[in-house]
Amino acid sequence: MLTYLPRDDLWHKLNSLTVLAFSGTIFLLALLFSHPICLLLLAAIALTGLAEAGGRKEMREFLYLSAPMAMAILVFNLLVSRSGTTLFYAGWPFSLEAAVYGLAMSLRLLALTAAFGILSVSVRPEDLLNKSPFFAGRPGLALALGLRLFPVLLAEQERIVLAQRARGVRLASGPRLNRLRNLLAVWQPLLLNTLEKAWQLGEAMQARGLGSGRRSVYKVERWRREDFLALAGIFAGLAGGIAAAWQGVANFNFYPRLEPLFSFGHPWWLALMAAGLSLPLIMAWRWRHWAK
Amino acid sequence: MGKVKVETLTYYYPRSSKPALENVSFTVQPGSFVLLAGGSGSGKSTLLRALSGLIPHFYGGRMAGTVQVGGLDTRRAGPPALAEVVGCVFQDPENQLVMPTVEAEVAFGLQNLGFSPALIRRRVAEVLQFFGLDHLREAEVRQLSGGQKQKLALAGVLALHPSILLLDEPTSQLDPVSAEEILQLIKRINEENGLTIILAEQRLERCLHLADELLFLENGRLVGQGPSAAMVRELSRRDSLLLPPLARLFAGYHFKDLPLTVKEGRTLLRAMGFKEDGAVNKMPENKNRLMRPQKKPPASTPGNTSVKIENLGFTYPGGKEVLKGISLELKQGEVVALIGANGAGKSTLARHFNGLLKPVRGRVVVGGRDTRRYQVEDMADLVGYLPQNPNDLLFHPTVRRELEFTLTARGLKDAGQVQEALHLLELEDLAQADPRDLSGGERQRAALAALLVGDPQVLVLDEPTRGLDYRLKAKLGQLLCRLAEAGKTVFIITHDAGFVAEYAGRVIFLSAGEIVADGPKEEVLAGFYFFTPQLYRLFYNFKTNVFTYEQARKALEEVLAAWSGRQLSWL
Repeated sequence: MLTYLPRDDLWHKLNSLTVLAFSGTIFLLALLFSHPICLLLLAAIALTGLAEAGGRKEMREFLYLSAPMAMAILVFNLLVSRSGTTLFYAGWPFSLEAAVYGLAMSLRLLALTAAFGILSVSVRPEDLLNKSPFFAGRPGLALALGLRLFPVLLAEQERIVLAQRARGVRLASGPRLNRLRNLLAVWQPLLLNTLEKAWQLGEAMQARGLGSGRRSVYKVERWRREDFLALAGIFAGLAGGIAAAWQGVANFNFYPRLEPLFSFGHPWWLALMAAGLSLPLIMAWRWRHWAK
Repeated sequence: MGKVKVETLTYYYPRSSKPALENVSFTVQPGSFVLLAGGSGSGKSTLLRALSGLIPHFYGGRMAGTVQVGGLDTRRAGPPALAEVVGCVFQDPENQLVMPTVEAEVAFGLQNLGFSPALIRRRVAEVLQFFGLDHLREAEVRQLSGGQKQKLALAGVLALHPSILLLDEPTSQLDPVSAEEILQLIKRINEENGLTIILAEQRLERCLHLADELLFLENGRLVGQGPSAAMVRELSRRDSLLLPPLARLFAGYHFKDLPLTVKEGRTLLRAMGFKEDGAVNKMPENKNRLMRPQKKPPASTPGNTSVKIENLGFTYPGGKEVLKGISLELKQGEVVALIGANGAGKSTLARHFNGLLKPVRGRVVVGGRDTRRYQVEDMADLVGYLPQNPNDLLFHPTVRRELEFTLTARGLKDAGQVQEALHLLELEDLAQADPRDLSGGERQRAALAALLVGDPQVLVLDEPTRGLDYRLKAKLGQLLCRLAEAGKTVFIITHDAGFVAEYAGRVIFLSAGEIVADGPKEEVLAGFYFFTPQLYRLFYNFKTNVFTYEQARKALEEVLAAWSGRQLSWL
């Protein structure tokens, strides 16, 4: 879940820095904001972004994992907070303020995790790390190799487990000592196969000139017109969000009594944030439906 | 640029006292397509490593003699200089692809040699287009099929514009369709770009006709070099089991020109007096029946039922339905081949035999046990499962310990079963050898012995002929027949039509999760046009029921008998 998935959509065609900027902006604003409506707006943008980037399946899996966590925050806050004054029922310690605060924190959690999810499903880690000069050379190559081989090793391990279980080797049942000993039947072939694979890979790499000297840099990622447009929206959204937080529009006092929910002083800053951050989403939606 | 010259090459791997190559000398002219043939362990891969400079630069060891490729002495020239002259493609694409994405993989070698980004971009674009991989430019390597991965490996090498291309059994891990595609690409590169090609291959029937020349290695020595047809005749005198069935069939007789393809063979048969009769190979009473899904196995199958599958349906968690209402019975003493395209559901079906997968619908009963109620480990005494890669099973320091481990894992004591299994698989001399030091065929026998020591009733073998030469395939086939005669049920998943024709008694054809044909091999194979053994295609419409080498030999001798005493050399 929430691992990179190649998809033929705009979100995956955008430069990794553009996606990083979008996720980073959501992440930052989610930490700055405390107003429930602002957090709701941000969470809605983040979840829409995740749905665009990861598709329905990823979205479902994300909600399956994060919704119970959000619910737990809400319930926990309701149970332990005693600072609110508007009680649901006289004599009970559960207040409306605690519920709204819990809800706001749940929305913050959803926005933060969705921001991470967007980055995770639509950007290859090596694309992002290649932006750093440190990772452009051998460390980058080692990392790329690790990323390429990790799924191969997992598949290899799964295959060996199946083969040994089919042979009668008990890996999940029986006395603990036997199970531990039987795990050698997986680890040893895996280690031996991996060493053979590493040798063959080394051979193939040398045959293609590795070790010849300084490697040249070839950036596969490109900057598109859509990147610049999306970045303009993201920076406008970031500016609007920071201004809203600066002006206190995005802040909210929960205790001891809730302040009015819809008493924004300068709502246009929020409108700028929402419009700016929605621009990449609209572009992605449009690309999916028309531009293709 | 593409000339290869080897003079008195002798090579010892590090810590080895036996030469892997001994006094090898030959010359390959620029632009030639050379097939490097020889049995398992004959030194083909070692020779290719020497030509690419990996020997001595990567492997070390002791080397005598000289190797010159494209005018460079491999001992003096370093890997960078050699990488631009010689390109290497290895057996398993999985073990030669380095980068996570297609575009980055093609650029890898160019980056190593320090080419400019503009040049890399141009080369990458050109090569991807040539190999039809352009639409996969941004795809992840792990999501490509085996054939696409091998194409990508080839693309990555050719992006360096080498003048010599070395290929070490590049099709051994591929299905027949992908293998054919790769070979055609190689031929095209040879013909259109004039690259020198040196291809090491076990399955000669796929590529014998493509090559200009054949080099033959035996125990590290070059025992012959020459045009393919002449070399085939020479090899037939040495050991006919090294040849593909068609060439082997004709090589035993005194024909002037040996046929290398089915087309050439049929021309020869016509010249010998074989008459084409369209009715001969048609089997109207079977044809329609075979094309429908079979609910019941043929009545003539021997022994008691060992596996019974009723209306089996299976869907993976992602929602992909892989098996749709499979019903079949397997009997003791049967050798059954399961054939079908990649993704047809063959391995998924086989994994139901021992409960590695549980039916979503229907049921699978093996030896009276319903697999839904048993764990995989509890089915191991009934079903032996040999994976594609025998290395997945082998990890002990000796073959004997490997066999003993199977008994230990099941809490059994050795009451002579280990010795019996070693004897059955002719591994007695290798009992103390490290399984990882054995050749491909020996490793496979060791893995099979590790299963047989537990005396399973049913043996499931997943692609057992991959990477085996003709001799090893024949040995394996004979062994499986012996096991069937001893009452085992042998179930083989394979793409190898020749192996099926020689050794299977019954063939099941799976397509898109459904059985579309099931019956005795003669009936099922006769209903096919493409998935047929070479010898069947040779005699198609000339003579009915020719599937195996023996049947083909008899058919040929019948005609030759009529010519007895006459001179046949005009043919």
